[in-house]
Amino acid sequence: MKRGVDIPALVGGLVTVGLGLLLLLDRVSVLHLGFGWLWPALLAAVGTFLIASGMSGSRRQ
Amino acid sequence: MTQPPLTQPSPPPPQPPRPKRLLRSRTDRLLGGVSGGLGSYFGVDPIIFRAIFVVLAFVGGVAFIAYPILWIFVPRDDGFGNPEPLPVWRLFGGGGGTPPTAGRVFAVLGIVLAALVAAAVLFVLSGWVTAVGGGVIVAGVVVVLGLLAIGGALSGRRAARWLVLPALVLALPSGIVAAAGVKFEGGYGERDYRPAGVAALPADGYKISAGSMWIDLRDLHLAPGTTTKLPVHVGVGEATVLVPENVCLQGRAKSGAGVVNVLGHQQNGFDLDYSVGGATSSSPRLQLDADVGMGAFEVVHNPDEARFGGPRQSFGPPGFHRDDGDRFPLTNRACSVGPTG
Repeated sequence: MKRGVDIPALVGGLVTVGLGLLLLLDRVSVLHLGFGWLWPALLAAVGTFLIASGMSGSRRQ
Repeated sequence: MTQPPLTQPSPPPPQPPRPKRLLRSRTDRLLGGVSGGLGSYFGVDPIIFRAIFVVLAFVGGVAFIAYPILWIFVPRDDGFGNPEPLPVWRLFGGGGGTPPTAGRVFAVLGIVLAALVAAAVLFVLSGWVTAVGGGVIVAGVVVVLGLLAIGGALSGRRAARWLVLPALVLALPSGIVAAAGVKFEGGYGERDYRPAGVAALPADGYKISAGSMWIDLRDLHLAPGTTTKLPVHVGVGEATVLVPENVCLQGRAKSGAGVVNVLGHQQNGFDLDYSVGGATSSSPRLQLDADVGMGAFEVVHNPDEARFGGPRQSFGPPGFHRDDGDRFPLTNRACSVGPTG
């Protein structure tokens, strides 16, 4: 049986890649990651994951 | 012949309403169904409780304690509004409500403890590697974990979402270290410097990775009209610089997170950047370039004005509190009033 795409894992992965890229860009001095960026970025990441999980959960129901 | 009684059997007495009970939801759940259960219990959207847990996770990490406790000790809904046996029994392998064996309990506790220790080690290691210049490696691992999660998601593996957890454990300390600008250079512990002259100043400045530093420059005897550079770097910790009153202090002091207090002008919080300039006198100038990752940095004239650590530690004049800030401004008068200015 073909399994469908797991949306929360997909969004979580995309968000993780985004966070990793932000860190990478800071380390190679393309941008400066200050606390003014960090907290909103982390909250947005967690929030996006929660929304994706919630939407996926309500679709299952 | 006897006739059966014509009276109908009386209906069963009405059941008293079942008391409302907090149960974890088995359908509306992201992790353990705690928020779903709370939402159902209080009759509100569970997203409210999810948001509260997220906020509490960032405010002192309360959610990291509260959520697991609720997960363990609040029974799950069996689908008919009745509680299932406590999850802690199922967690330990005692199905059907039967208590697990002692060996099983120790085994599970050992696994949980090992996972927590591994997460703590990963957390510290990630921050340390980033601080010593290996942030690219940490960022690369986070990206790879994300790509693995994407790959797993596309092949329909629900378990792939758990890869996000170690990625966050790695990304969070690395992000904090990067945001604060923490760099580990120059050793650890307590340092006490009292250079006797300009020649004794290190060319690349005073550096410490983690710890406290006390730099007493009152014996420098700088000549009028000269400018002496003073780079100071602190990764995590505190540094106190004592400058003579006849020296005009110029330059800047930055801190990712903590306190910067330059001659009584105090800033607290994140991304601090204090600069002082505009000297008009010909007093000897000290060009400060202080860079603190996380911690405290201060410039004072005398040891008894210092508010932070150091070998001659003092917490200020009587009645002084660390948060008083500008209540005790010192002077930088040498910048406007000098020997020939």
